[in-house]
Amino acid sequence: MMQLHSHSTGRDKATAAVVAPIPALSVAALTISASAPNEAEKTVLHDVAFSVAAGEVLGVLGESGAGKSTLALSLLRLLPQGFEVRSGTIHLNGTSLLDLGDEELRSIRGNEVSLIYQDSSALNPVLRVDHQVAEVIHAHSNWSNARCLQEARATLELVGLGDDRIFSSYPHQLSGGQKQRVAIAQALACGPNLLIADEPTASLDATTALEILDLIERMRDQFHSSVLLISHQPEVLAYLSGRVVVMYAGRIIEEGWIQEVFDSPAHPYTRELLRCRTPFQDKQGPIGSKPRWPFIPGTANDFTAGCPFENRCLNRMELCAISMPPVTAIGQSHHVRCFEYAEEVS
Amino acid sequence: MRYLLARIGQSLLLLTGVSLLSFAFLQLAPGDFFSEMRLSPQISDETVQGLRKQFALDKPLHIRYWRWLQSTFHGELGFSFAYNSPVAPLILDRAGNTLLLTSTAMFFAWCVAVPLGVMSAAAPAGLLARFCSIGTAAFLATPELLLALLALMLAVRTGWTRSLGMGAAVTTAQGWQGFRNTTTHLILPALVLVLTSVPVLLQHTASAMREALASPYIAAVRAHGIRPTRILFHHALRAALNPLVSLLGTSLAGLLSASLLVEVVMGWPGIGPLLLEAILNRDVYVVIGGVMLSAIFLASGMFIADLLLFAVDPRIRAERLS
Amino acid sequence: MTPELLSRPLLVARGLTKTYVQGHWPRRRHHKALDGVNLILRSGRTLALVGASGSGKTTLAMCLAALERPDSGEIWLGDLDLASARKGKLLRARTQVQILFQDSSGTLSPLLSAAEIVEEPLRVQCTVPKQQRDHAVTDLLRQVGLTPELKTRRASQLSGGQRQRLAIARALALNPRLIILDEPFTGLDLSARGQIINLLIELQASKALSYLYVSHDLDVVSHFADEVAVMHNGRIVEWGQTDNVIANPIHSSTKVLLDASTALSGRRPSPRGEPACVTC
Repeated sequence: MMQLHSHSTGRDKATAAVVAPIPALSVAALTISASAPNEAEKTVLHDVAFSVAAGEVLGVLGESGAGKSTLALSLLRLLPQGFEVRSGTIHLNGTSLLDLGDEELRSIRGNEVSLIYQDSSALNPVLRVDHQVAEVIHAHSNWSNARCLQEARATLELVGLGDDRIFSSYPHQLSGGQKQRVAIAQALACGPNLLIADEPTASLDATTALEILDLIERMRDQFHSSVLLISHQPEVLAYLSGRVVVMYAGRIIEEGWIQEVFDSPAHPYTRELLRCRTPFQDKQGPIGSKPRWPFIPGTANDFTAGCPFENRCLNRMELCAISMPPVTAIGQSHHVRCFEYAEEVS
Repeated sequence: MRYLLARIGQSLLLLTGVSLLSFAFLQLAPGDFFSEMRLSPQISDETVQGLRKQFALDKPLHIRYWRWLQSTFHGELGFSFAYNSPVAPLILDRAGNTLLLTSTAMFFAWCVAVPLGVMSAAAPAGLLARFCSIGTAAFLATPELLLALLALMLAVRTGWTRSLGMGAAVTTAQGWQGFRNTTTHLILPALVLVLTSVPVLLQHTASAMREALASPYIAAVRAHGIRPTRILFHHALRAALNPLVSLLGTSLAGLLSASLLVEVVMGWPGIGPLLLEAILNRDVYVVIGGVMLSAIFLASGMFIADLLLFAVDPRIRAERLS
Repeated sequence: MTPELLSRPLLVARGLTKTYVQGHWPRRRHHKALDGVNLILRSGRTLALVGASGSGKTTLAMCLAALERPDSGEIWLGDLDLASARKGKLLRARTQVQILFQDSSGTLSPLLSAAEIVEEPLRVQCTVPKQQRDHAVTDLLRQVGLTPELKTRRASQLSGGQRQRLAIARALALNPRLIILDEPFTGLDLSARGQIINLLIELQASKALSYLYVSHDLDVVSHFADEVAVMHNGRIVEWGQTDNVIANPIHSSTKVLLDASTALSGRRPSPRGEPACVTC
């Protein structure tokens, strides 16, 4: 279990590293279904498997509805009503998260695994900012209120908000970037092993987004945490991540080093998505006309037994509608689930 | 500071308006205090006219209003015909009794309703929540009058508490004896008031809490591993306070009027019976005095509610004034 | 339409100022959101408004949409000054200027169906007689690419892209000449963004619409906008043709914005007509 520490000394990682390189997070065959009251049961995550090494930043790319947020919540065992884990395992530093009881889970949340929400929603409007950070520390320690507050202010200083006026202010008095920093401070207050950042820069402008991403990287270094960075914007992931997994309709369809995946995307969806970043350079159009932007027509096919991208794929084959492609390795650590690359087509 | 002065100014305006309207409406009601006397054959018309003249009831409305205003500034609030005394001491004395009853009842009502509301919102499908909703529905549907009568019946049957009146010698008995005396008489009417006001409070608390619990920042706080009890009382309740504080203000405003029925039925010597009697007798100035006092409470209650909201919600403290 | 007619000034703003007061006595703070802004919007063209958070972009957009009144200055739409017009006249002006907000789900009523949302402006302004309204609604939905079967759906049952299209349909209902777009692509994935941009381009061409596009996204701005105005601390510090401003930024704020955009995406936003180049 994670011991609370003083921020000045940082965490002692020596023992953990020497014993065995257990991945910080390891997910295998995770399948989660959701059933809304008057609707059919829907599988929101199919057979999801990946791992995050200690100190690594793993990017998760996908459009809305791809299951990214469900994945994040499942790692905290905070799935909303109606969601159920059908199968699979989640191991955090060797401990199986799915087997833990309520109280053990509560002590892990915010302590070993932390979630950074998008700024505007995570903060309580009637509580002071430093008190909100102190709450997290208080929940995972038996220090006095004064000590918790002191540690909270030290954390706020770490994230660049070390100003007395900010300590005593309320969320509505802060800018978007500042609120995001507070959310980060809350997530880091207890020095977690795994930091999950769900769209941390979504509504921020480029300058502030860069500051926040730099901050996450600095904090990763300081606390030796692993980071799961979730975003629908490829450039955000490219800035910070080493490896990336691409999610589509609840499945992981591609994974690899980010440079490789972005330079030579294997899966047709990844290819098409990355093409959407820039408009067509159409020299034939009338002068002064605006270039059109590429897009992927159609919507994800959630209920199929085959590949969910099949209905929008330009290279689709008959087999694609029938069964889900197996994981195929291309290159050293680049994997893709697509029949285009599968060697055996039966 | 400007805000304060503005509010006080508004309240004064309100009070003036209320007094004018009351005067006007009472004038519209046929007859006056001495009308009943005319029915008695033994009292001659001249006597009635003479009495009227003596109490200036034959003067036009605006003159009477002006004289009432003067009387108010002297601290008398007009004159009661039935009791043959200035209105102010009469009302204030009774008002004190009413306040004792209603504030006790209100205190206990809030002490019961808020925790119950919080807990039933926390476990909406649980036993407590279901019990609360059934109880709320039942008590909301029962008229206050019925409850008061039931309480009386219960008391009489069991002979348990002396339910009528405020105590034989409440003004003369001092210290512990007086206190005990008052309390035993206070229990039943207070209980009835509590039973009638808890349902609404409970509903409001529960719904404000449900809304707070569904908000994103509570989900975030769960993700940080805060203990459930602390989430409930420290995080969610703080955020759900707004509507409750407003409710508190309006409750304060109604402190004088809430117990009228109970007082009359159960014989508590408060302002209720006095006002009722005065209305039936057309004891004009007593009625107006009572109405004015209620209006003052209303205005202060709303003002206190605003102040409380200001103190409790930082967003309102920093509102934009452009 | 001849090119000359197309570039006539549609909206001219002069000397706009707006100050917000925050806090209470004695700690009152004055925040100058707009500090003397002059702007010209031309028919059928797109003007992008860029700047860091707090530079006043949204305040300016709200003033031009007549949703807020500036403290001083004029906003001329034809012969009507929006900044000082009375309510009745403003109502007429609203048929000419519409605004699309950042969070579409926040601006679409959760209680109404899609058809009702689009019909509302028609009903309020009485521009279309009752019998023809249903037909007008279907037509508007078709123009933005929403099929008629979505008419009965509520906003919560639509995807992000569909909601944004619905908001556009509502904005088009009154046949405006100017649509103000306040970060309309936030939250949309790349594919949905592309579709909405294409839709906006087509609508501009077919209806000679003008757009005021408020954004941080310089990539989209560089291809979508004809002119760019850069805001900093409540003033417009740089203004010109998009290609020029991006290729040769003059003011430091502009350079800061371009640098941030480059740092994040790994490449400089490219002027129209040239392929994007990766920074060397």
